[in-house]
Amino acid sequence: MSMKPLVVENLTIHYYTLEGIVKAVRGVSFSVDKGESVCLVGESGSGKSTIGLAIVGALPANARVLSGKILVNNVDILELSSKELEKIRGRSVSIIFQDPAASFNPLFTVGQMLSDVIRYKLGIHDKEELKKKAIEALKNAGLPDPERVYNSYPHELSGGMLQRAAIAVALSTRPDILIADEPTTMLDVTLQAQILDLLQELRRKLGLALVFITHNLGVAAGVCDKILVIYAGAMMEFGPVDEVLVNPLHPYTRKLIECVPRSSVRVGRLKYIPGSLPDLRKLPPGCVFAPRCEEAMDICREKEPPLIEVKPGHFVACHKYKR
Amino acid sequence: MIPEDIRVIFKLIKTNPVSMAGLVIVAAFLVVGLLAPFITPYPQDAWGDVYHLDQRYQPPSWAHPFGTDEMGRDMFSRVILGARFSLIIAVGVVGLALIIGIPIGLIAGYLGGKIGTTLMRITDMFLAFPPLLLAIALAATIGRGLTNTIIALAISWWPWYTRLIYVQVNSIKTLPYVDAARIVGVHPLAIMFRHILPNALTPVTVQAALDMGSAILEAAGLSFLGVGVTPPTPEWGLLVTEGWSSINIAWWISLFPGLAILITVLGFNLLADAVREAGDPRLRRILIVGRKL
Amino acid sequence: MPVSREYIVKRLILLVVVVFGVLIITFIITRVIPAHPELLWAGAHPTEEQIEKAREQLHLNDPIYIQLLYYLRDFLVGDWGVSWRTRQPVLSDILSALPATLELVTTAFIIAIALGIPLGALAALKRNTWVDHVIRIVSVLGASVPVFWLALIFQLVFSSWLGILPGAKRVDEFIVLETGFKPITGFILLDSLLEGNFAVFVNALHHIILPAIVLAFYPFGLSARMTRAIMTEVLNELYTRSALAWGLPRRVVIYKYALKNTLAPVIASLGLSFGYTIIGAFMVELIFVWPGIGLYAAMALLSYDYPAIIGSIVLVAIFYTVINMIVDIIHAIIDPRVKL
Repeated sequence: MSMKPLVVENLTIHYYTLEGIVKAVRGVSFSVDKGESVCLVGESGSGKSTIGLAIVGALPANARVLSGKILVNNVDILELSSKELEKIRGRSVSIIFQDPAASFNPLFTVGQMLSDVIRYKLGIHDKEELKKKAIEALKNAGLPDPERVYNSYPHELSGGMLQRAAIAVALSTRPDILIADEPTTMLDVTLQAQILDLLQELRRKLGLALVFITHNLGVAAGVCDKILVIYAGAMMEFGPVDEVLVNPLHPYTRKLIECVPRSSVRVGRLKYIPGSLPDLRKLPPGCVFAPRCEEAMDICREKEPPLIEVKPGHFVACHKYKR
Repeated sequence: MIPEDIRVIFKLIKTNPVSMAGLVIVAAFLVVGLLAPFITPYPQDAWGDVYHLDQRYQPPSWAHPFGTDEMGRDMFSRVILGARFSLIIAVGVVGLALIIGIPIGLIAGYLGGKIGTTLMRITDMFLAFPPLLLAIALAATIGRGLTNTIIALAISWWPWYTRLIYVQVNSIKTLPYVDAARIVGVHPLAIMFRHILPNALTPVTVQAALDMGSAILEAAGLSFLGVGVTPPTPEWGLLVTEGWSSINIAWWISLFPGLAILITVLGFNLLADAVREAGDPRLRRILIVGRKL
Repeated sequence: MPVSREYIVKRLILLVVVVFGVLIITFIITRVIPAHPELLWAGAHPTEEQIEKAREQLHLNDPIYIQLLYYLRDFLVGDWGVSWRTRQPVLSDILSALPATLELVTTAFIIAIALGIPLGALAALKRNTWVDHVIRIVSVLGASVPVFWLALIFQLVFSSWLGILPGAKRVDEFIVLETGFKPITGFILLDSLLEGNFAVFVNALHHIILPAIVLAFYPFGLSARMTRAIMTEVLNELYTRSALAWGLPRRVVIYKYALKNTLAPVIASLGLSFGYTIIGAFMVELIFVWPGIGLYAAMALLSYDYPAIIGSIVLVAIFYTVINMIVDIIHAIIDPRVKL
């Protein structure tokens, strides 16, 4: 068996806030193969971004990883010192964020940032070579005028251009894994498609392991090989994209699919899931989705369902299914 | 800011001993300031209208913890009563500054356009003076005394609040409920004062409350420069100044009132830092656990 | 990135507007607010004759806008009135006092920011450790202490009691006489170095230590608190976390990137710090008998020397405006987003 670039095992992360301990991620496991893309799908606040930040070792100061492993090329990054982590970042794993404008330092040009990343990660110090590499990275990200972008400050560029620039920075160091944290949410629809296409193309070309984080099942369907449905920090369902979308097992997944607006369906009311995410500080006993679940049984409110493999490669955490 | 925020701020202050010290100092100052006339050991000495020639320049002792001044008056009593005057000055200055500053900022922010710009330009002119300088000029013109000190400081103080309100109003006036009120024909004055002002007020009043420390400091500066309150008012800055000429033989006369200023202003500043940090939602998240990046 | 010429021109125009505004506000304070301006301008115990002369000089018999025009003209041509105390033209008094103040204020200011900015940044990096707590308390103390009281106490302890530092004046006259020191620019530290007169230099250095340290407290506290607050914010910005996530070393992210983000707003606030320093000089100079504008203005205030008071105030306000303009231009150089 070939080594997978990214394996996440039983990850549990808490945030320590003034208002109590927020149990953001609980027992999440998945893996991503070379050239494969896995989507983390869930509502905002479901903990999917926290998982992404954990994989690049960039959790906010008040987050604590309580248990689990994050194996990047077979090394558990949670065991690494901050110096060793520094080496992994960019080289093995990189990230692009939802808000491209906020992820670039306003006081530096895109070129300065990009050159620094290349300089420190690839050890290139020759100025001309640095610039050549940087321009090349920008061109690879589909920017038509890389020279101009190179010399621009973030506030001089549009959101779409900045997101391409962010992809250029993240991939300039040839990482094995890319985390894309809602990279299209803040962009216009036409730009969204462009960025998604670009990510797909680069994934194939570079053999990237892509972790795509989104709240939009429609976007996920177009990008991913596998889907991980996450709700209130816990895994609901995990499986190949066709399996999960065509044959969803978990009531939550089914609801999510019903909520995707489709142009083919006659115009009617948009569907939604009644209720809201539970308070992550005081989780209900049993299944976290039970309070919003139409099919909830007594056991759902008492015992947390284990994740079981219903079909080969298709997992679900719901009491409706037996091993 | 809403009450919820104030609750969070209080919770944050409790987690940090330094911030807590600030809160305790401010609370103690307010209590002493309010009760001052009733808790001075020698009330007549405190008000300054007596002198005891046989008790001049007594160093600190049990009877006179802060010593006595060149008139033989008990410095401890004078410093205690000084808290009352510092409180009056502080409340007076920020209160008057709010009364001047808020309407101007409200009108400038709500009307915008030429009137708004002109009002803000005038406000900026006042901010072109370094702190205290305008107050010195005014105090030198209108004369000394408690009321004049308050007026002089407030006149140099209000532009800060105008700016704060202006920024608030600018963000509030585009909210849907204000549009709604405008469309149904609510009078502009009613919109300004009833619909916008209450929502813009909290940050400004919180800022003003915390600025009281600076007001005390600047009033003391005016006293020292001879354009502040008049003797025998036991204002702390004036007490320090009165001890200056005899500092080599009776250092305590200047030392203790100065310490009183220092501790009080320190309390307000510590509290101000804590509130500012707690009021910033991005900062609030990382305030609990200080892990390294 | 160089700032555009357009920006500098706009800033200069704004400078003229602000100076004009400063003059108008001082006109309103000195001529419109008082019921009898002539009484203020006629000295401490004026005679009938002096009052009448003051009325004439102030053109009080003319309409108010004519008075304003005369007022502006007088300031522009350098006719700032005559001091009652020194019997000299106010402008020449002030200009001859300027170098002493600049030397003191600049020294204090350099001490303040050279300590305040690095310590503030250190506190942010070591947040919630004892290093942070100590720096935070010291900086808040600095911004809370009444400067004149601190000056008195320092003078008492270090000069009168311990006798380790001089507590008055800029330099000892006998050394100036002995070594035949002739000031060129009026900045004694600079001049003595230029002339190679180390005796005077060391002596002047001794004299400046106490007042400069006292004066540095407030701007030190201000800049340290400011730096700490902004650095904390910057370290938590997405762009800082993304730089780390993209693989830049921590030291590069902090000392090249985050430090620049912190310095831009801190520098923008230095004008205000400078303002506090120069006002502090009014009191510190009076206590340390430092022959600068502060001493001049403070003596004028204590002796009701109104022309000298207003002259000093206008000069300091204009000076402050110019400093703020320079600070703004530096800020614009650092931060490309700054627009007028």
